[in-house]
Amino acid sequence: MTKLVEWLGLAGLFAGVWAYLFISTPAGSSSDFARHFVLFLPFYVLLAFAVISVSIIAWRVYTFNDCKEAAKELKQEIADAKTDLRKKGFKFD
Amino acid sequence: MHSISFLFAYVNKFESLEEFNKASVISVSNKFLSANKMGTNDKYSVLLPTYNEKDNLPIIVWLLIKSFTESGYDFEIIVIDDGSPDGTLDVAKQLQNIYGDKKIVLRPREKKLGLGTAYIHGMKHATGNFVVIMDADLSHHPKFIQQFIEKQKEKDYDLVSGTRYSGNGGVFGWDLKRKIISRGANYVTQVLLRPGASDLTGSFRLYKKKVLEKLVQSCKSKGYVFQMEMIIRARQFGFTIGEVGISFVDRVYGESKLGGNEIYQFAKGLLYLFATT
Repeated sequence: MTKLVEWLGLAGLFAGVWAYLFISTPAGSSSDFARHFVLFLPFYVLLAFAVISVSIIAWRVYTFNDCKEAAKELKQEIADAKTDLRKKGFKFD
Repeated sequence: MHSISFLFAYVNKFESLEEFNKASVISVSNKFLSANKMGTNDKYSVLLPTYNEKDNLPIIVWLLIKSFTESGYDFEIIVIDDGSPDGTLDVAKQLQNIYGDKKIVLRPREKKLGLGTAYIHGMKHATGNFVVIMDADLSHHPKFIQQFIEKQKEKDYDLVSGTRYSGNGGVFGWDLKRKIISRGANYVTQVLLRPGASDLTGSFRLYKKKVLEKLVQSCKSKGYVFQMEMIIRARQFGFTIGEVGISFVDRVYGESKLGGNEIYQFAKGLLYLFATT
């Protein structure tokens, strides 16, 4: 089963549950709020997912390891390499 | 016997007899361990595809030789140059003269033909039972290869992937925009593909040679997506994947910005993998 098929399956499942919920909330002014809530449920779920996703990405950007020492080390090693290679007869141009 | 050890320890300025005994045990077992490393039959073939790397190639080769000499593992470096107009192949020949053709193997090609075929071409005459793939532009540091090897031995992993996104992994030389794009793309990939590896577009990896051979044959994509597809197919085939955090030093980012076209290709590739795996 490909990921696409997996997601379509899950989407179908949610659609079924949502349709059932929608049908089973009775029409009438006393349960207007419930109906509205169920109607907009997918939207709320997507909104929550978007907010959580952005937060996760922002956190990961903030805590992205910055390898300053690695860059410094590399600079030094490039100099060492050039010195050693020259000694061994390498011609840099 | 005891008094002689005590005298020896005192003369050599150890704090206590225990410390001296510990030090002796460590030095003896180190000798035993390195003898074992030399004695194993493992050999690591490092594949270096190059295009216009005449300045970086000597450095990366020097660093590879230094790190393998220190770790004691058997190795060879296979340079696959795709007809670089800047003379990279001549530089490779100079290095071959210095270090010998057993350590520096040249497998050049006429023109730029893509990464997958470069790996296949490089592996054809590789004498190692393990293959390391990495970039030749100094963004990947050879010192991590020893960590890859040790990780691989931990559970006999089929491949070990260097990751910039987890553990001690990290990046130098990226601005905020680049980091956001990188983390964002990786997040979308994780949600859609759930690959079981934290860094899919990385190209610093250790593979068992047979595993790499099988994977390269089954991957059709190019560029970033090729490396992604390798990991996804590896999961499909049931290969085991280990991870080691690496530091990625990007000295090229200023010149080669991440363009709209690359993002488009990435998105296309991601959707392709989403729909077919």
